Amino acid sequence: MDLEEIKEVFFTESSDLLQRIESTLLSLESDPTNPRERLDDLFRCVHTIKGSAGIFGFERIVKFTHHLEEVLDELREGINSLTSESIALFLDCRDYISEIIEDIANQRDSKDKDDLEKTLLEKLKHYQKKEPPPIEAPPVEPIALEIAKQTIYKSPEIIQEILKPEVPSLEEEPERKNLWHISVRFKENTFKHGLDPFPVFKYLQKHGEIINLFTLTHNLPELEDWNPEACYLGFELVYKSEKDKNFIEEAFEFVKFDTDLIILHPERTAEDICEFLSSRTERKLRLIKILLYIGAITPRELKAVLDLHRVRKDFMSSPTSNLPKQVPVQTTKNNIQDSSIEKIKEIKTKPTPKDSKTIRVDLSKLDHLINLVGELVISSANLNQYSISKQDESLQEIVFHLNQLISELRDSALNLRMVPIGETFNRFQRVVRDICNELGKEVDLKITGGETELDKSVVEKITDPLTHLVRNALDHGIEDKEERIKLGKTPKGILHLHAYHETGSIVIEVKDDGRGLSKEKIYKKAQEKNLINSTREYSEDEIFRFIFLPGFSTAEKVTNLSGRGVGMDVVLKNIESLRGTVNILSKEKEGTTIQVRLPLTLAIIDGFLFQVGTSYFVVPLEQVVECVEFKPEFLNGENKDIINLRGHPLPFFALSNLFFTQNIPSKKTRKNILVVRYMQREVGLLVDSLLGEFQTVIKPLGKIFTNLKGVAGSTVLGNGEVALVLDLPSIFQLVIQREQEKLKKNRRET
Amino acid sequence: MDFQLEPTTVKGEYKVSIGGNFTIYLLEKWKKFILENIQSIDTLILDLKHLKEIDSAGIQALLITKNYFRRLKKNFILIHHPACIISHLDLFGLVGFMEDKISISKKDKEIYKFSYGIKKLPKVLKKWI
Repeated sequence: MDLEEIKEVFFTESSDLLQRIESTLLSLESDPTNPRERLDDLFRCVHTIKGSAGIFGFERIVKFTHHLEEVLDELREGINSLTSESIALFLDCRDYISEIIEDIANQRDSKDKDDLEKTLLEKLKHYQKKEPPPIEAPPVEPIALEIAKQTIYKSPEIIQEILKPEVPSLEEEPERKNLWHISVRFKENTFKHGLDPFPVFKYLQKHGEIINLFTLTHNLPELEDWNPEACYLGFELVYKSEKDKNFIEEAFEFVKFDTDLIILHPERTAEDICEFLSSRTERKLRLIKILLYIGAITPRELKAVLDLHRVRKDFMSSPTSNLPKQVPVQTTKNNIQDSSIEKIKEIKTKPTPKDSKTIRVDLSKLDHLINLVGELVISSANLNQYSISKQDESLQEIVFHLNQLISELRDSALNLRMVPIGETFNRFQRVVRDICNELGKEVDLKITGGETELDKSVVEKITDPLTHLVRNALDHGIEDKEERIKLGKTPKGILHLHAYHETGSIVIEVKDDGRGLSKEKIYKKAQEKNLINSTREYSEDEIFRFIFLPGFSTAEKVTNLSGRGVGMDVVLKNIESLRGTVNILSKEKEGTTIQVRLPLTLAIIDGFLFQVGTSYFVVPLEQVVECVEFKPEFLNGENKDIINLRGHPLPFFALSNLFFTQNIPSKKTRKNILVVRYMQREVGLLVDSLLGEFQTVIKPLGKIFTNLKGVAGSTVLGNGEVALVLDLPSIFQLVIQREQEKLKKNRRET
Repeated sequence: MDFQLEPTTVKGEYKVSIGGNFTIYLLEKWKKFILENIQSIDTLILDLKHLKEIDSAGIQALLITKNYFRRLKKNFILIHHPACIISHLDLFGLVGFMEDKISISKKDKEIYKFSYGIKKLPKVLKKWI
């Protein structure tokens, strides 16, 4: 792997991490309770980006992430608190990092972002300064008395003793700058694993000053019970260093699986100390005394802890505490059971990290594999036709088995490219949040069907059109809070992104409960633009489809989000380029649903092969409902476009009429109807010979045929002939258009 | 390495010399040795003059032995501390716990401060911890 390839890995990983930062920030915004774990995750993401950027010497990223990391560290240590303003600031920082990385990837200069960087750094600095120091500082003597009077320890004289002026280190508050408190308990297997605390402390000593270290000996067993290979040691350290928490954690890196490590920041709050004390199993009083003695906590901090404790009487509840216990055993047991059940539930619901079971593969390698599988599919189809022509049963049997295997191989290969659409949907959390903030609207984004999978190349190309649809829904669809209340709707609008599979396609819906499309307004606008033919009537769908015309907008005011009439035409064009369609369902005052139908994959399909004249055609097998022999009695006297199929009317058309200007003489007298379904409608295609199932690799037609409607691509048959893969959605549209033109002509004549 | 109990001129006082390493691999033997001989010992002097290496497991063994002797109201005394043991006792702040006299050279005084742990603790607090 050369440097460029490793850089590529950095770009991909950073993009994943930035995505994770964004979703974590958004989740913190919507649910700020219990933020610790998520803040840790945020910190780790930023730290990883910083580390990786450092390897490549991307100094700008390193410098910026370092500042961000500091702020995040203070947040998770509880020194600063999380507000919606700070989340917005972090989101901006995330965007900035993303832009810089993009610049590096595209070898662009980032000078234009100097100002932005400066502003963000200032904001971060300001944010750091904002919070007041955690503990107020009243004089020492009254504290001793107060603690002595009010403490629940029942032995105030001990505290008085502790705070007596003759204990030199307690007489005055020491300078707390850069003083870390490290509390570490080594696990029983430390020595067995060949590890030793001594070199760790030596290392710390080398990079800072150990102000005090206290070896906890209370866990040492009696000699008779002592297991000479087990470790019973624990340490409390006061460490002075300008390094960050990460450095201290790294010092314990080698022993991290054999230690229980807690690091308290120099500027920790009383709550941090309280939390620390509750997490340690030692007798609290003993531990507090040790900490006071070594200067890990100051008397003022102790007072703050005790004050806090009076409010939250939880940290003293260790089993060895001196507190009288009046809790009935049964209740405690139930509590334990409940809490362990909760814990198990928590573990079960926690998503397992995806990374542990996946590997990263270069997309070009995957594409190459799929190309090869495609070639294999074509060759196997050739072999299949050859074996049929040879009429050799044993050969046919082998080919049949081979085809089955190739079919499975093809499905697995295509599956490799399938990704759930959920990831794309989740990106809209941010889009919705930002737009709502800008518009002052309140909207709940609901996401369902995120697990629906589709080809990666389709996912990549669908993001832009979807963003546009979402923006439109938020800007034009969903009303203001006041308007919604007037209309009797909930004050918060709902935007629903939904995905599901339907006969060989994936359907993506963007649904809002807003004001809906106004048929009259669109019609009027279309009239103004001379798009309306007054001689004919327009269906609802046709009127709605005007919004897809370039420059068409009914918006009264143009915002920077939408309203210029540029966009819906691009949306349609993008989706059509993916062989997809857009469908609009809308009810005025109730809302709009835009349905986007896309093929599952762009490369290989199970097709149905048939012939018209001497030409071969393929349609996707999922869209074929049935094949019936065409009989003249199907025809309904007057109407030549509808047949009576078992009592049901079925519109049909001859493909030969669509593709060939003149009737091609067919030797075969028997004709067939191929019944196909698209968007819950069934239509018959009049064709000549039916040749059956056929695995097809769709080859693009080339630039010269870009404007050719009705054909999605081509494929090569075993006999060397070329078959055209039909694009049914556009064929339907083509037929409808022709019929309408015919009708118009007829009307004019009559 | 086997531990040899040598009687001194004082009744009930014995000396054991440790050479080489006092690390995790020896500790099972050490435990056995102490348990087998404790009956006859009032004071055990551990001569560390020839000790080359000790690890934290070895230090922990000394702490446990010290506690054991204390409980039985007997004496466990270390003498001739080599550098390897002084550096451990200094860093872990255990000089006060072991309560042994340590003689060090002038040069070593600059290296070892003996400023950590229980040694600094005022007597009034010592009994509680």
